[in-house]
Amino acid sequence: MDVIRHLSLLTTGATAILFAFFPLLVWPAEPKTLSMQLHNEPVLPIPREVELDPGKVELGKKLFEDKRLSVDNSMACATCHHLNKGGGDGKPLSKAISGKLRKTNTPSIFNLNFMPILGWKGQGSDIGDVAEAIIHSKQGMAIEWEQLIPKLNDIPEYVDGFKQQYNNKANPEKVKDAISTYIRSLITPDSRFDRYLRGERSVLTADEREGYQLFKAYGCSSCHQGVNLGGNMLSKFGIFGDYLADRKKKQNAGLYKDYSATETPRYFRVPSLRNVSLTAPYFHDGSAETLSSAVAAMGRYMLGRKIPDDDVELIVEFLKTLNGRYKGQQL
Amino acid sequence: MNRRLTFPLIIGVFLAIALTFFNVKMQSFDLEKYNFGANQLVTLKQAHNQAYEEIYKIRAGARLHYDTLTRVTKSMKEISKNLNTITINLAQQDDERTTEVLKALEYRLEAQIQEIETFKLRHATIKNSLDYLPTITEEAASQYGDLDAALLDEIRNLMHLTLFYVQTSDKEWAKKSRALHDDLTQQHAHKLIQHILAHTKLIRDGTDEMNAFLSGEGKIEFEEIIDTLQYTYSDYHRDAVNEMNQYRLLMYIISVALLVLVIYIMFLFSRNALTLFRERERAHVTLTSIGSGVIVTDRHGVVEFMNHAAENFTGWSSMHAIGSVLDDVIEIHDDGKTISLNKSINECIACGEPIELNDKHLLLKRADDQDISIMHSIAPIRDHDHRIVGAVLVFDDVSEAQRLTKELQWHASHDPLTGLVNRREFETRLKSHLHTARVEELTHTLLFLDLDQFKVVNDTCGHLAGDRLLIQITDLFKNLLRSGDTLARLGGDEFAILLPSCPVESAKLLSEEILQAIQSFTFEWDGKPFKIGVSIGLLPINKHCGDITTIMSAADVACYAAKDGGRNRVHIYLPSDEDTARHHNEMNWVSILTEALQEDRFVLYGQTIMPLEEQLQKEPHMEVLIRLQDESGAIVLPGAFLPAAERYNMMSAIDRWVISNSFSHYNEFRKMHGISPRLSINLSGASFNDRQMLRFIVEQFMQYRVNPEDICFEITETVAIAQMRYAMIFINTLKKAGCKFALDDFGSGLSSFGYLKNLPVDYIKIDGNFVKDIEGDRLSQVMVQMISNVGKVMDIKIIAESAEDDNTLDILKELGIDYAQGYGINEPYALSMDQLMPKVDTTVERRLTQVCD
Repeated sequence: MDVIRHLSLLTTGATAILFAFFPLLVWPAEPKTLSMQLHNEPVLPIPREVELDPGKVELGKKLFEDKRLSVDNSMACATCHHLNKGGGDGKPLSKAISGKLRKTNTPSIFNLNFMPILGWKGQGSDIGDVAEAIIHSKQGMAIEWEQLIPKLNDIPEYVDGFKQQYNNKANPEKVKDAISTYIRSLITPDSRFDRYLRGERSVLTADEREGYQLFKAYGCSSCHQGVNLGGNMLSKFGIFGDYLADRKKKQNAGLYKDYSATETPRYFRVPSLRNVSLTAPYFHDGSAETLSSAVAAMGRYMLGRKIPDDDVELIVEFLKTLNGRYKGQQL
Repeated sequence: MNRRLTFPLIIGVFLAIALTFFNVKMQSFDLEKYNFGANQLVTLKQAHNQAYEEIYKIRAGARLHYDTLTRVTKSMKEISKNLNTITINLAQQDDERTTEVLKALEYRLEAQIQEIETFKLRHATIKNSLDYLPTITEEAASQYGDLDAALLDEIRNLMHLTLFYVQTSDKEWAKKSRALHDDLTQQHAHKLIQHILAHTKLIRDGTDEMNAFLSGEGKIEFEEIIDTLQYTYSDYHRDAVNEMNQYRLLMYIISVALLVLVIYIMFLFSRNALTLFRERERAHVTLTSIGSGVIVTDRHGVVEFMNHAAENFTGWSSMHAIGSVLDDVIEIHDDGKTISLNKSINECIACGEPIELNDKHLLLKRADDQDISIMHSIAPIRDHDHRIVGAVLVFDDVSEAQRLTKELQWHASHDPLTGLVNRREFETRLKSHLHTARVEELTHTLLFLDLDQFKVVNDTCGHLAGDRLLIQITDLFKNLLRSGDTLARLGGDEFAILLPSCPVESAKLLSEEILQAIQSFTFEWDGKPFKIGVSIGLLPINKHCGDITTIMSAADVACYAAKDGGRNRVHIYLPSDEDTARHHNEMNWVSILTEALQEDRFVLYGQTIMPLEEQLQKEPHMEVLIRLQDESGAIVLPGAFLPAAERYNMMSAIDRWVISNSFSHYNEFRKMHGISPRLSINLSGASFNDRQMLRFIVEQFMQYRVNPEDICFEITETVAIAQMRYAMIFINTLKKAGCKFALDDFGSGLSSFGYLKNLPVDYIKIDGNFVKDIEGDRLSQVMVQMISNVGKVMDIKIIAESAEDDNTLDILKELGIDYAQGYGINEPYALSMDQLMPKVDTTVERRLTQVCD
């Protein structure tokens, strides 16, 4: 009898509790807002924020801008990567610390966080490793860790900074981490085109929209796709014809690096088109001075066709909408 | 350790070691490395599949960018780095095949990544060219169509063939397209045609590559490699797990065995422990309870246990003592010399036999620095193998026993009443001194002392008084002696003094001092004073002396001689004393006196008591004295036998004899001579104790019809005072009958005149001591004068004793004394029928006449 009474009590209790929570079970979810976001486009918008440690970003910024990171205190990362020049320096080829010209054009420092392949030849995949290579490189700052680390540990602000951020003295790993963290923070979201992709249809003018359609129709977007409109694949420079050979004939060949001896001659990373109108001159050797000439060259060598001038202009119009904002400031 | 426990314990230890060993073995299995490798493979496979999915999406146009694909490729690259670790893990298994497979995987993975990379470019270019091909074809048609329709067809045909090939991937189309392409290349070098041909070639070649890639041969091979690896991994994992399970089973069995063993051991242990505990408890209680101190040490004499009694003896708590060396805990010494018990223990352990030291009593120094006598024994302790593992010290407090022994010894050698040494001890000491006298030629002196009035005190006041008197006398003696002298009580009232290294002259002086002291000493009991006398025999001890018996006997003789000489004197032993002494000494006084009484060998003597006033001279007056006639007929003075008679309770009988004999002849004498002289008869203290005496006297009066008025009884003041009540009754009874009473030896006990009021006496006899020296001693004259005055006031006649010459008589007369007695008048003479009154010496007669005149 007792058992039955206890069981009935239990059942009653359980039922009561179920009834109490029933409204929660059937409560309607919040209705979804109407999404005008474009789908299945070859281009993706840049995420608005990247989660990073602000302290390390600050420390990385100091290192990035500090000329003491070079062998003769003459060159910082920022010497070539100007944030107000689209992340490059606007020169066809930058000067190395030796005074000689570098072999390739300085690529943009922006949006590397979303770039799986780094360097003109696609030789890198990790920002820190590439930064390290440039610090050591004779064409970069030409300084070894053995010199740099003691130097940094003699500077009180870095001693404090590394102590605060890493609870340790500076060492190669920490320096790389700080610099790459800062570089990751360099993003340019909210370009007009991104806003268009996110659904603000009226942000682009008709010409610009037409330019985007031509960009896709000519097949530019076959390679210049993804968040960075490029930077995620390698390609032969000159599928129809040999750009490098043609250029050699036209210009002073000694000025440029000869890639014929490399393992994959003529193969380069497809460069990003973000903020492209700010990063003239173009191509790995800075040989295209204007955007129009670059677009035209691309049509000829990569697509095997001549793009009419009107269309080139429209495409250029579109490309100009790719300039984003750094810390809210339109570049 | 119980042997039953040993075996299970050893097994238990082995099992525990085995368990630990297997546990370590288990720890060495690293399943995690298999999991890591397997996970990497699974991830790799997933990434690979995802890459192909992405590729299909891209080909179907559902994905227009390569971001996702690139990301997947990147993750595959990262996994390829980890493959190195996997290889190392697997290489440890010495499996060459797997190592080869891993190498193949690495190679294949790289190829796949490269192919995907190529795909991106091919796909981009093919797509662009395909898009452009119709446009360029139409362009060509519009430019060259009118020129050559066949060429146009061929161009269109080429386009279609190429498109067919792209769509169907059928190599047949590719072959045809390529053949046509070759024809056109050879025939037409037109620029536009060449352009078209370049695009179609790009498409065709790209499609070839794409088809080769998309045919999935690489994919299948890759997946096969991964599958193989996964199978290998799972095999290894399974083997490892199987092995581990075997160990686990073993460990389980060992654990169960260990548990059973532990329970068994606990069971054994608890049973053992219980038994042991009980035994221990019993042993502990026993050791705690016994009064003997027990200390257990190890082989080196370090304390391991001590019981409660030992703690009390040593003052150490066992907690502190354990671990200490025995000599630190217990300090034993013998005559100030410290004795090491550790040494004894070492000896005991060395010889393996118990050491009993019961005969020797050592002193143990307690914590409070008090010494106690102990009796101890040490015995070795052996374990069950009969090896000596330590020693046990047992000791008892024998202080009490020793004290009792000492007390007994003391009692054996001392007189308990006075605390003086007794005869035996005295003889022992005398013996040793006799030895020194012989060897070192020293002269010692032995004094024999005999108290004169002790018997009186003892008889009249009881033993308590006698005891007290003896103690006081002892103190008196002690004060006079040197520290080296030995004073002994030989028994009764006999004392002896041994004066070592003391010449006779000094001893004589000391004896005189003793006499003086005794004379000036008065014993008081119940407020009554008693005078005591002493006779001293002095015997020099030198190398000529005989043995102890001879010496003692000689001293006794000297003492006797002193007594015989009139008491209260010193007598230096002379060999000539020996005869008399032997004579007396060898007598058994009791039998002699008894015989004398039976055989009437006592003789009555008399001494005249002469009146000094003429008007008093009516009847002759005499004191009746007693003498003993020994067997040889010699007359023995009373000083010799009366002390013996006193001692052997024969005074009463002697008194009776005197009274009876005096009375029996009195009437006869009176009738014969016509005169009735007054007789003074001495009554001793013993006679007062004899309650029959009064009755006897009355009976004697009646029997012999003696006029009581003619009889005067003399009693000493000491006796009268001591037995005042009875003396009153006695005196009053006889006085009613007409008897007279005289108080004898008046002044000797410093009698208070107050007693005289209560004692209705008729005469007072002044003690001889006052009278003897009266001629030169002013004090005596005053005393006598005073007594005389008192006598006059109280109407008591005064008799002076010991009047030894005429001058004395003169002085006595002047002082108003009524009667005198002594050698100055006559010597004692034997009484007989003929001569009750002696013929008075003519000179004395004359003297008396003169005096009377």
